[in-house]
Amino acid sequence: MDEENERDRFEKKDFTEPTPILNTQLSVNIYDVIYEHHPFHAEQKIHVLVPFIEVNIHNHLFVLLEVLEAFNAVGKDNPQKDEKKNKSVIRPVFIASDNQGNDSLAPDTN
Amino acid sequence: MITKVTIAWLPIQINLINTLLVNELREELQNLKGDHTKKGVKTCRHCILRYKKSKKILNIFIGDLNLVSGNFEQSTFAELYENWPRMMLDQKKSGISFSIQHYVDRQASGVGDICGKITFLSITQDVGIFKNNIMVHMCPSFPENTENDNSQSNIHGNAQSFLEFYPTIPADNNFLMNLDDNFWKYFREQEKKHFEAPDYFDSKSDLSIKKESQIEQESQSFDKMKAYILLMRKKNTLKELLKDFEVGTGARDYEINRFLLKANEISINLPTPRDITTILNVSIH
Repeated sequence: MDEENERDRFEKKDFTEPTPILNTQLSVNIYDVIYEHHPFHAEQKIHVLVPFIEVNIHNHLFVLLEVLEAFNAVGKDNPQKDEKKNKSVIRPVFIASDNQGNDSLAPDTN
Repeated sequence: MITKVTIAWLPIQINLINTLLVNELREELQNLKGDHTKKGVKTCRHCILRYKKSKKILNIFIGDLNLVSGNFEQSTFAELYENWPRMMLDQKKSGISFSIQHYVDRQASGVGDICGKITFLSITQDVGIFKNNIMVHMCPSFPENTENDNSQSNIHGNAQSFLEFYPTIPADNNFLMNLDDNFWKYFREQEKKHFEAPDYFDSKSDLSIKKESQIEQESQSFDKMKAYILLMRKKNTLKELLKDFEVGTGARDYEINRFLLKANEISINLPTPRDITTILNVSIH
């Protein structure tokens, strides 16, 4: 019965809903001692508790990262007119581009 | 012109002050060294400064502390739970869980999915005047349905791939209580156990053989919620000062930083051959 219920739930699930990439909780306590250079106690104690971290990565995320990388590269530097003088121009590289193999985006060194 | 001369002398003056300070520190440390050799001194200042005194203790816990210790409420770690009622924490979720899924047309295809889970992980760093030590404990990852469902199939009817990690060295049962003020003592015990090699020239006593076989048995009988030591790092700082400060048989101990990482098995199981191609496809995209 449990398996059937689970299957029903799966079939009714709306897959157009955004998938959470990260789900977590955090608790931090920081202690500073009153007496500095105390022979026994540490001068500072930091305790961090993360009860759970759930990370879900799917292949659409790789495309999103690629787009962000492209925007970042375009925003930073405008390509110079004379590329021979400035060979270190950063240009966006489309990792998943179908034409990547044939049309190289590397600056012309001739 | 006078200003230029002053500037030219400044680095030399700073060097001179530094040398004086270092010499002064050295003298102080030599005095402490005297404490170590004196008989009847209960609190040796040399040992306190060398091994015990901590400037900072950092503990990062990933996972529910209830799963690894029944009596942590007596420690300061219980204060981490103050703002969370117990009911809010789901122990099934405890630790790090990750999944890499392959989506086709906005739907999880279920083929080539990789899941992994580490139920509990703790990272402890102890920064002192002469030390910067790190220790990592963990409860190993286990497939969630292994015990009840041997087929490991998901709701799609497809088998999932699990990334599994099995450490080697079992930790003490009450290791969590040793991660606060007593951490220096716990680290020292583990250091002696794992870093200092036994003397193979001496014949082994029956007791040591028994202990070894016990450790072997413990490592073979794998307990689900038992914690293991994954990593230990011992780093000595201010080595130049330690040089004159060390006493006893381990007088050259200050020179060596040590690192230990032990894993019994790291594995990923792929139930069907097509999973390999799908995983590669996800990675390339």
